[in-house]
Amino acid sequence: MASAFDLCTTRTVEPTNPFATRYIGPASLAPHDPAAGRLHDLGGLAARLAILGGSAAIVGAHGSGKSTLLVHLAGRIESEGRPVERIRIRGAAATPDALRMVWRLPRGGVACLDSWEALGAIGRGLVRWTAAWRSVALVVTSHRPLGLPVLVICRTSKSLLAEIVARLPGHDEWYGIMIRDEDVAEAFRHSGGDIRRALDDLYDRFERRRRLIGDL
Amino acid sequence: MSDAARSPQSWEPRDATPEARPTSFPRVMLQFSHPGRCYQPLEWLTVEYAVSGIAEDRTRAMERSLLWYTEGKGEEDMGVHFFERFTTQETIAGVMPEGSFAVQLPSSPLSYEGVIVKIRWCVRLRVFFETGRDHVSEHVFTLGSVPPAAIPVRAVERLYV
Repeated sequence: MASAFDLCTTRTVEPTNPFATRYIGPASLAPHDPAAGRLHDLGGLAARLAILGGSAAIVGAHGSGKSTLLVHLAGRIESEGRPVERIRIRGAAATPDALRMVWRLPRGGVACLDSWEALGAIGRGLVRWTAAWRSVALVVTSHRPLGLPVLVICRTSKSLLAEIVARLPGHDEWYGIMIRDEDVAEAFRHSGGDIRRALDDLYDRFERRRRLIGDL
Repeated sequence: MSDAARSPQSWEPRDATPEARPTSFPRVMLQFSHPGRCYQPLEWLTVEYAVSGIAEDRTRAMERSLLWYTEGKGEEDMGVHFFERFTTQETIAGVMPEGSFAVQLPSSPLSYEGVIVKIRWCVRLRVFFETGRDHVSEHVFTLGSVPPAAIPVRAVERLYV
C-alpha cells in the first residue's frame, strides 16, 4: 500500500463514486490554501514551524482541511529527515496511545496529533509535558489554538470546494452529468462551509443520479 | 458496461506541489480472460497486461496483486488475496513491459454494489521507478453475482434529474 506520505504516486483507478472516502480522505486530497488561491506552501509552513519553536497548531473549523494539511505537512517534515509519527485522536481514551507515540519518538522527532482538543485538558497536559521532556515537537490540528502557537488558520470557500471537486478522478467524464455547478453550490451552503460534509452530500447526490441515469 | 467505458482514469491527488508531478503517466493496458470481467467464486482469473510510457524511467520493482477493498462513506477496509513482487532486473524483465498471470479466486467476499458501501475486487499493478516515483494501476472485476442494493424511492424522488 502507498504510504500516506507519498508525494509522487500516480494512479489509474476506476471509481464508482469519486466522492468515496478512498478519494477524498486527507491523504488523497491536495492541501489547498483558498486565501492564496493555490496549494499550501509546505516548505514555507515547515520553515514557519521552526521559527515558532517546532510546536504549533493548525487551526480551523470542522471540514476546513486541517487533517489534509497535517498529513501533507507531516510528509514534508519527514522528507527533510526528521522522524514523524501521526495519530488521530478520537477521545480522551486515546491519551495512552498519544503518550506512547511521543515516548517512541527520538529527540527532535515530530508528533502529529489530529483533533488535539479531543484529548481533553488532562490528556493535552500530559502529552505536552512528555513531549517537552523528550524534546519532541508537537504539530496538532484543533478548532482553537489551546495554548500552542498558531501555524496556519484553515478557511473554506465555495471555490475551494469546486477546486477539490475538479481534482477528483474522472472529473471531466462525470461533471455536468452526475454533479453540476448547482450541486456544488448547494452542498457548500447546506454544509455551512464544512467541506467534509459537503463532499459527503455530493457522494449521496452522485449515488442517486447513478441509480437513475446509470453508469457513464 | 463495456470495458472501454470503464477504463481506468489517471489521477494524481497525492502530488502536493506542481513540481513534484510527473510530466507523463505510464499506461497500463490489461485484458481479463472473461470479456465481461465477471467471475464466480473459486474460478481461475487470468490477465494479460502491457505497460507503456515508461521509456525515460528505469524500473526498480514491480508488484502484481489481486485484492478487494471497500469504497463508500466512512471507514475503509481491504484484503489482499494474491501478491508478488519483482525486484531484480532479471525477474523484472520477465514481467515487464508485458506479462500475464493466473490466480484462483476465493469464495468470498463477493463484489457488492451498496449505496453506502461497495465491495470491489481489482487487479493492481504497481511499478516503482529509480527516480522514486511509482505508478499504481487498478483494474476492477466482479466476483459473484450479488444484485446491487436498491436506493430508497424517496431519496430518488428528492432529486430532479
